[in-house]
Amino acid sequence: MNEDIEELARLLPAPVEADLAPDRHRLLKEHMMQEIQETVPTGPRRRVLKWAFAGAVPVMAAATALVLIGGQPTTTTPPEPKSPREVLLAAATNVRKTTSTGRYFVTKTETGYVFPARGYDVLGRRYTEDWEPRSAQDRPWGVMQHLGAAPFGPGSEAAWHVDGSPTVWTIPGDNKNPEATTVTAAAGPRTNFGRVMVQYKNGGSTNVARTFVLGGKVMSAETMAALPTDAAGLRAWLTERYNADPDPSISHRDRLIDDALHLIADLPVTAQVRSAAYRMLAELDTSQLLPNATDQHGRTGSAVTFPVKYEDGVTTLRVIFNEHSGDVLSIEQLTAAGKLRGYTLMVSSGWTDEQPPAG
Amino acid sequence: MLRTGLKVELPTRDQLRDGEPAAFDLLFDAFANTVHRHAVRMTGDWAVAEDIVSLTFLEAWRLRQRLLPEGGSPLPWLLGIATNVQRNTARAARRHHDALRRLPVQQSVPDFADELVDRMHDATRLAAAQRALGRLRRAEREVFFLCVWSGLDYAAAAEALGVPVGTVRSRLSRARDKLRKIVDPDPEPGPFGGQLDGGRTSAARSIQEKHR
Repeated sequence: MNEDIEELARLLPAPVEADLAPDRHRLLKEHMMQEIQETVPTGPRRRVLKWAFAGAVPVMAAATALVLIGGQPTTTTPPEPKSPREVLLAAATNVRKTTSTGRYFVTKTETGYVFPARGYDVLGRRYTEDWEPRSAQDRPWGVMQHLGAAPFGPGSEAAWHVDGSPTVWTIPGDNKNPEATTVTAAAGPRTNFGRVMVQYKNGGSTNVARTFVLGGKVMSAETMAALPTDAAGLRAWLTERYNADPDPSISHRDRLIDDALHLIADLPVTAQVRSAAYRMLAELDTSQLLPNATDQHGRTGSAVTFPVKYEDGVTTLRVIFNEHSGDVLSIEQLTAAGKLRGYTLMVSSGWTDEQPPAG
Repeated sequence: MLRTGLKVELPTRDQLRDGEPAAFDLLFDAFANTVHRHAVRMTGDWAVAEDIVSLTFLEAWRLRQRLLPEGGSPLPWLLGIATNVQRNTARAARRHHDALRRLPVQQSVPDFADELVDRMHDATRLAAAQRALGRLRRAEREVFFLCVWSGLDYAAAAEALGVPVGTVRSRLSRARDKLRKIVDPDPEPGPFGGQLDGGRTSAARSIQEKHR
């Protein structure tokens, strides 16, 4: 049946084995990925997942260089009671003083996730460091590490002994993450991913640098740099995305909170956009203020809570931030019972002219 | 960046049809070279071939929902798109002119002299083969490229071109009859060796220049 093909191949053999040069392969692929990112049909739900359930799925990276994020300076004047709105507006004003210049946007993040074991909870922790270049010509870089896991919460230690002091736990799969995940008490090696890992809804993943999820869609670094710098404009811009990409599992308001928190915490935007995001949060009327909250690293800041309704039972997001600098210290997810479900702690986040580590 | 282990992974048709960026990432890794070789052989022009690679994958993205949900490797579909792109490079380039404008700048010559010599040698042999193929009708030539030089079987070529298998078979048969008459089966150095073909197309490039 294929004699014709065989004869033709003898008559006129393929004359050239012309592979793409490796650098051309890489450049052409990056070009293609950039072109298609803007028109991704249904955005991966990574963003919501990230705060809502940090479950052992390595989601994405986070944060940065220059100055480690610290708590509030101790003040000599007695603190006067303020409203959440006032504190968020103070942060909106103060964050404008931060720099938006630099070659890299660097986020260093610790993600914590709490899961149930036999009669007690376990807290797993993961470190992620991500260097996103402003220019497509610069090299992205990132590293991820499992920091270990341990019994968590009152009485958990004793219950863990009763359980036989296991050092490996299994988180069963669910609808969102069908695969069961194994978590070890011991820390894991640092994994250099070089480029940002993006996790997709059906479990696939890719390494695409300089792409970020906002409004449920994958956005390029260029889009991030051109966002509206006023609260109303930003809100309208995001709402337009939500309308274009409806998600019945989450309300517009909850999506707005989620996106605003990412904008102030770990997205490569200007100080003006972060300020607008703080203002957007200040305009939401349902939030509580805790003036002296402490994050999982013991750093102190103002905390504002937002009631949300996530499919996995998270009912409250608590953002702890430094109102004097606009830095976000940590974003915590709590259940209706007030239990910690997970957190994303910003070790640092911001722009820098430093170069990423070699390798 | 080393991407060991990902190279051989193929995206599913569902993932491609759903517009998963990760699926196109894998698709590119798996088949960019195959499409590039195909394009070089069709056009004899390395610069145009890179444009065809880019345009083929952008067209694949645009037309992803036309990929049939059932079937094996997506390669025949991809080579079919490459064939269409080559047939009308200018139209595809117009459709994606913004994207092409952002294409990474090409090196006009290879980095190393020996690579350049290799390429000239390749180009010479290719030009010779293409003069022979110039005797075929376009439809026969397209089937020839797909089946003989890119290794698709009749059914895959039929899927690529959207024609019945019988049509593929008869086109190849005619191509064989014609080439038997004009090609020395033991071409050393070959009946058409020598000059590079002069008037090579660069429609995509010239359109791209206009928008730069």
